[in-house]
Amino acid sequence: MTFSTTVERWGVHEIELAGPTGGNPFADVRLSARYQYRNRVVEAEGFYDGDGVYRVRFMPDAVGPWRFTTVSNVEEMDGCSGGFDVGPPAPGNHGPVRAAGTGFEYADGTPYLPFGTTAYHWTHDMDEERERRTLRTLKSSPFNKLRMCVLPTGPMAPPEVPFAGKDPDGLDLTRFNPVFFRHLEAGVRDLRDIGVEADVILFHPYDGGVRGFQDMGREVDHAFVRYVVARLAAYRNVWWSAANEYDFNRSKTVADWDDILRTIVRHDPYEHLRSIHNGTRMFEVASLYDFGKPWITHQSIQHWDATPTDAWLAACPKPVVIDEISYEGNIGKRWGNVTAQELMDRFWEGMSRGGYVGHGESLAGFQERAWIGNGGGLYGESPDRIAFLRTIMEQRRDGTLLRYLGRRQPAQVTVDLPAGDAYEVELIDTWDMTITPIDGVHRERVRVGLPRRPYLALRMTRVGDR
Amino acid sequence: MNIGPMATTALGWHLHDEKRRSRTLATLESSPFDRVRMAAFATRCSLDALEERVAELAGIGVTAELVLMHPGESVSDVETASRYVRDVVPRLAAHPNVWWSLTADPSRFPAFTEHDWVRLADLVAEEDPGHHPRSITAPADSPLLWRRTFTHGSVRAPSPRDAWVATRDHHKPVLMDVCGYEGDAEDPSLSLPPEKVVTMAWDGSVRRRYLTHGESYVDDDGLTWSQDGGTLTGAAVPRLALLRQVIAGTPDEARYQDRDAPMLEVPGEFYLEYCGEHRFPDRTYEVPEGRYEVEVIDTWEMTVTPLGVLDGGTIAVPLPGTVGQAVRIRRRP
Repeated sequence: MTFSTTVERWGVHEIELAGPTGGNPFADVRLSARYQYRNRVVEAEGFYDGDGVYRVRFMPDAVGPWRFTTVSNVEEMDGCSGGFDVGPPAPGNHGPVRAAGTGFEYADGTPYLPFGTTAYHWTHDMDEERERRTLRTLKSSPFNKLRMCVLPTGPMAPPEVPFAGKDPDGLDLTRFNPVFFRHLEAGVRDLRDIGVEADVILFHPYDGGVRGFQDMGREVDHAFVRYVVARLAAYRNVWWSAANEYDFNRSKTVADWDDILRTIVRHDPYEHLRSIHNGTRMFEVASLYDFGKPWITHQSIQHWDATPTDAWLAACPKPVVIDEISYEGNIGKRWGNVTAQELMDRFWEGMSRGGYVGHGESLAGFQERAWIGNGGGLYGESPDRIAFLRTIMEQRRDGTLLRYLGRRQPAQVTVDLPAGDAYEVELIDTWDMTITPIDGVHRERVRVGLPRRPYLALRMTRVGDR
Repeated sequence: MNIGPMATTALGWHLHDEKRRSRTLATLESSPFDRVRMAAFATRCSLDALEERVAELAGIGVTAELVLMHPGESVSDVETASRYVRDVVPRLAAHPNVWWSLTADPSRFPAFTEHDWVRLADLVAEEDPGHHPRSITAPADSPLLWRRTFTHGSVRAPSPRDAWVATRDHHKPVLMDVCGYEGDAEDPSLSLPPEKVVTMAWDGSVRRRYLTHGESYVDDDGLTWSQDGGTLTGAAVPRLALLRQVIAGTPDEARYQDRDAPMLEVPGEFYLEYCGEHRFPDRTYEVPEGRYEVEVIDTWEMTVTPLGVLDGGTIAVPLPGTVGQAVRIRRRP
């Protein structure tokens, strides 16, 4: 047995054990470790990593001495114990993100405002040069969350897939492919190291009957969930998205999804954020999951319109994250061909109503495949404007009021200010990214003349009782 | 019932002096609109004057849709409302170019129940030997829309798309009579940019949910078109004129279809698809064998670009990749 002897708070502690290779180690061998801090015991699942190697990963959440003891149905891996020291987190490590009211914060209390983007299959081609490019793009972007799939789609022919056997028609769904998962989790680690949350999508309905991933049966589904959780949960930047467009999978019922989400709860010792993303019949139907269910931490929504955000928040007091609201793009699908103006209008509508909106880009003609599928570079006009919006949102303090005027062109607006205090007022052009102060300090009511064009906002900042 | 193709709103145009009224009539005559929604305002003008105005509209081929219960008419109880209906309806009912709207906003009459509105509409019918169209403008999910007494639905909604979802199974025609006005006023419903108005009008038309126009730019007299008539200055109107032409050339039997963009279709004969805010690079259509005339319509630039006469089967139509494109395909004899 080898294991880490020191680790930072919310870092990854790992135990490596040698064990049996015969039979089906993925199915036959049970392994976990009971980690103990003072009298508190937290049990983490282990997993088989191929070639007779077994691992347990653990994310300690307290500074000080920890101990562990393994539990296994294989004698030589049972009852192995050790101790290690947990030190303070390195700069930039604020721990996992959790829901706080209708917003989010890191475990150390630092506020977290999700500005997500999507590159569903950025790891699947194992193209290291493009992955490095994706990471560079993210690093210089406003985005701090990335939606990414574990499973490839039917039409893809990636070098490795999550299951063992011959791809695509001879897969052994009872065995996993450690090579695939080592690469996937390296991607999650890389995102962690640049401060990006990994919103990991466990299932999607895009198999097209090629590998049978949409209908693997309850036992395989749950073994898959357990394996992914055992491998990834110790990374602090992980979020669980049970599915993309859950309702487009005709082989599973809502009860099946409930069951999958409960299985995540059962295996994840850290209570990472959990949600599930719906499909839409655009402009007519959006089959949102019942986010009131106790295993849901936030409302992951696909919708074409951000204005129902108030209603979603009123119906369910959990954060609203509109993970998909159409992408800036020019392709032949209507989910992927709105303008940056349209996308930014939807961002401001959602954010000014207390929700969070996610980005995606499906611009053809710049690289082999667009960002939304494989990452790479971003070419659109929205990321700069999302960066501007992010700055505005992060500058909000108690006493800051934001009012988005939307796709209207009023010549003036009248703003009623909370009684008793004085306010400075600024005019924000969300498209040109300018902030223009309105002269003076204002009380009770201010009338602001406007340039008669859409996409403007007002920011009112309390400056005390002057 | 002929419900189209195009209406505007000028609620109190008839309360103004003759100079402004003739300007309003001239504007209407040269506009794409053939119906005007106006409040009866029978407590602010005489019934004689109202009749004369309605007759003037008839003279230029415009229908007067008279909104009977308008807030500010001091008709706040059902008794008074009934008397008002008995006064107004018989006087105007003989004019062929009249429609009735019970109100544009039932929520402004908190004392009136759904039952009261139905009773008032029945009363209108009882007093109307001309059997004119009769509606009430309500939110798309209001049960009032579905009551038998109304000849068609009249919806107040932020967009025809929202209204369509709630009214798609309605067995009567449905109009989008209140969707907001083009303008620059402070009220968000009075400051729509023209692009949004044109988009809603096209989207509504291909869903057979025709939009009623309104405009609220303040003129030199401090008045606006939709309150006071006058002159139309917005950028939407000329674009609505093109839409009117296109709709006038659309067969009555065309039905709404939706792949991933709304379309009016007579299979094998006629297709009109509107792409709205979606920048499709191209569109393909599977049509029966035959020869078809194919056109791309830029609804904002007001251009109709012929792509020639193409063979049926699969018709591929390249698009410019900008918003507001429509495609029209018509069988050649």
